[in-house]
Amino acid sequence: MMDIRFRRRVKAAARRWNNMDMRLKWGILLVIACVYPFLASSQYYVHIMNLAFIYIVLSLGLNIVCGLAGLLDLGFIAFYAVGAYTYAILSIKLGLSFWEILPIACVTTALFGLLVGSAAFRLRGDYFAIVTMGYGEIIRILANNLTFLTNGPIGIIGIPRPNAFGFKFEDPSQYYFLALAFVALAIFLTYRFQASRIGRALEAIREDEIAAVSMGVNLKNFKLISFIIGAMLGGSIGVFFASYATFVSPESFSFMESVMVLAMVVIGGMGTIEGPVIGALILVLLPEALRSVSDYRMLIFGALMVFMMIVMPKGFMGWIKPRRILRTAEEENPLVNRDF
Amino acid sequence: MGAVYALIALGYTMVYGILELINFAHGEIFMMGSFFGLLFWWILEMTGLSKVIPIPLAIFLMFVFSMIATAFLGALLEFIAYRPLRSVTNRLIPLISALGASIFLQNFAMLTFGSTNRVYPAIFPDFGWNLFHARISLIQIFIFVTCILMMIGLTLLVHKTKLGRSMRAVSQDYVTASLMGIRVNRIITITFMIGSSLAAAAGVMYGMYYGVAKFDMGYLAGLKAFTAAVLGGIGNIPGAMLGGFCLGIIESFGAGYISSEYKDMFAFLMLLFILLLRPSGLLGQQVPDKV
Amino acid sequence: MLIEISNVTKQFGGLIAVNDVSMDVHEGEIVSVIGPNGAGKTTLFNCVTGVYTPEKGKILYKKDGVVRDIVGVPAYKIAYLGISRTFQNIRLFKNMTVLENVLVGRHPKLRAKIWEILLTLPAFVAEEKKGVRLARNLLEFVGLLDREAEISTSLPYGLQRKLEIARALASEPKILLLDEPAAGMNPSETEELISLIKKIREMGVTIILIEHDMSLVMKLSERIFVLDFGQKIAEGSPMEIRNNPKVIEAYLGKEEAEIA
Repeated sequence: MMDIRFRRRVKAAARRWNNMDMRLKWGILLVIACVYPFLASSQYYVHIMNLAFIYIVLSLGLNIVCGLAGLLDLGFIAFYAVGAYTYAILSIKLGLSFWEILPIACVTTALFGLLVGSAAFRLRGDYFAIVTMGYGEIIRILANNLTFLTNGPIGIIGIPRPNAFGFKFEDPSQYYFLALAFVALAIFLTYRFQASRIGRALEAIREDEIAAVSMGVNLKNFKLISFIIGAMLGGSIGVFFASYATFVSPESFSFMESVMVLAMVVIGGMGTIEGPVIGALILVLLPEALRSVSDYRMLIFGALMVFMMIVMPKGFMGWIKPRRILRTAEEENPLVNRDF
Repeated sequence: MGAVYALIALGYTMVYGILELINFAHGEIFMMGSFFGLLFWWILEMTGLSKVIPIPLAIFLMFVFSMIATAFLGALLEFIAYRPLRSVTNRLIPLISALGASIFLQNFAMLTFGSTNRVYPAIFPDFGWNLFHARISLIQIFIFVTCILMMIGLTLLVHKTKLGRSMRAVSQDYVTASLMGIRVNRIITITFMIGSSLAAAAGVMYGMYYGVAKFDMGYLAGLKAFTAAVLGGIGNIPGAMLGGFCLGIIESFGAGYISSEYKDMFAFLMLLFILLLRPSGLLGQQVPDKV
Repeated sequence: MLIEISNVTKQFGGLIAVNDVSMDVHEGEIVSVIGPNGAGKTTLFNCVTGVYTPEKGKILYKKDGVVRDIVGVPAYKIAYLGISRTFQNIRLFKNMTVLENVLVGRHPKLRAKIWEILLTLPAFVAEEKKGVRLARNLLEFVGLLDREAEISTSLPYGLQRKLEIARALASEPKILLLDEPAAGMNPSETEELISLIKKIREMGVTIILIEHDMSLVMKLSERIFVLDFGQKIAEGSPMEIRNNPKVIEAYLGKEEAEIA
């Protein structure tokens, strides 16, 4: 079992961390993140971090749907797939650039989110979850079978890499800062939403739908908003993924992927911002760390997931946070007491 | 195939009915059931008994062995991955734990039984009748009849015995049930065991029908069975049976008349369609929100 | 007349929860709805707040001099119209802080657009600041200011009820519906509640109250409506109600009423 002293030390460190100013906190992390590729001993480590960044954005996107609005979405990866395929198809067939496709993909995924959401929100609870699982699978099966568009199970290869100001992205460390920008943007977005009427309305929906309605929250609209924002985050990082891997195939968008992203959100701590970030880091880096026991690593990984849930059922953030959360309005939203 | 889906779906539905929990590892339980059956056959072959015992008895023993072994596996799963989380209110937590268990089981099977198809013994004589255009083989009839018998058995168990009454009581409200002197933990364990052994039977039949068992076969079968459970209204036992048969029929018709490439999609499209028309499944009941 | 409920009927399957009930409330009044358990009081509230749509009847509500029927108006719009409520079985947003709960209550008054929020435009910031200031005032008003950063469910029961009131007031409502606000409170807390409700009325809010605590009802209400088995059996001033034989019968049963 977990050593008590170790646990206490982690908690103390976490408390100090929690009390720190929000901007300072993320500033430190940003500096660390910027230095990382220069310290990494090989491109492979940078590549792993890029993957982690992709999953961080995905789990932040899902966190808005799942953590804030409390909707269990089991097909989140579909948005990621739509984004990735949008880039793959448009860049090859129409020759559009990364920066042209990014907004297009955002609109496509948002529309897709709107379509799926408006159908699915007639259902509640587990049935909603099942429908989301269904559309996730349908997208994957479509990608598998609409061969004229997606090249079927073989996938699309040779997707062009993005350019910026005459600079061409080639190896992982060049992509690294692009990915970091996506992460920073996603974190900023989540912060903004969380401390606004939209974020509060979503949390209210999560806690108690009837009370939320009585406070004037239009359930359908706000659920849709959460879905669309989540979809756009997922879709935009899908574009990044396609340009980074230069290859997309239906295999990357299986149900298991949706569930893994969900696991990241839950393991990190739903509804928080640090949680999905930590969860994504854990679930991407842990299998890498277990590489030395190659054959058994997924076995151990599965067992660890069960173990983590039993030890910290509220996720990592819920585990380290003191029971009575004493955060003031200023910490939550530093704008409130700032004079303009 | 519908009957097999129905058997797996029953496991989902029973667990859901009692714990309101989607047992994500159930597909893996099905897969392990199939392997346990195979394992038993290997033992028979190794000891040379396979030549001695008459085939029907061998098949029967195969089912019994696999069902018992898998029942214990199911109980173990419940004990390790779900019971410690019983008090947690957030329903996603056991879901993730189940996912972990499922990854574990899948990799366990891959490491012990290998990552390729394992051949199931062709015990059944390849024998069949032509009926109109379709060919019905002996094994299909066997599967159908066995499934029906098991479902009848389960229905009798749930409705006519004391154990079944306790199970229904626990599924209504397990706090009250425990106050009435029902040992809730035991009932839950038994539910897991019954659900798992049904899945094991399904696993063995699946193996016999397709002739193979593979470590990742639990995933799609589990997903479809789950769909079947929802189709019929999850938590509802006759619903799961109906859902399973519907799914099997839809799939084979869809594959036969439209395109087999989209076979898997029909299942899900059908699911979406039915849920949008009847949000609680075919036999489910609408539960209004209390204010 | 601020709100007029006329001949409202709500059925659940065969059960008629509210049967042809009419009542009217004037601006600035405190009105109580009383009756035995299962009389249909909360159902009536749910009809007014749009949670249920009654099968028959009208609910006329006057806003800015215009009278409109609010039957069939979705529940979230009712909040925008200035009708706010608390719940019989407390429905706070559990994992949110005390202050956040009140800020959700402020929702109908917040207008910030999505891009204003994303770009942190001054309009959004000013609105947030105003909202937080107002929420803090309300917390001070109900005596919860020092606990604003706590998770709402960590409050003791009596304070949770007060927080619900603060949350309902955050939208600056015209009418406040209180569903058993004194349930589970001890006598001194009830006294505090009475003075709190009086102060709320002084702020210009009309109050409709469901309550079983008769001392509170008698002290506060100008008029009382009595429901029994979904029907209105009496209405009038506290004095009239106290002596109404039908009311005594509903509460005590027929035979005891005769003895009394």
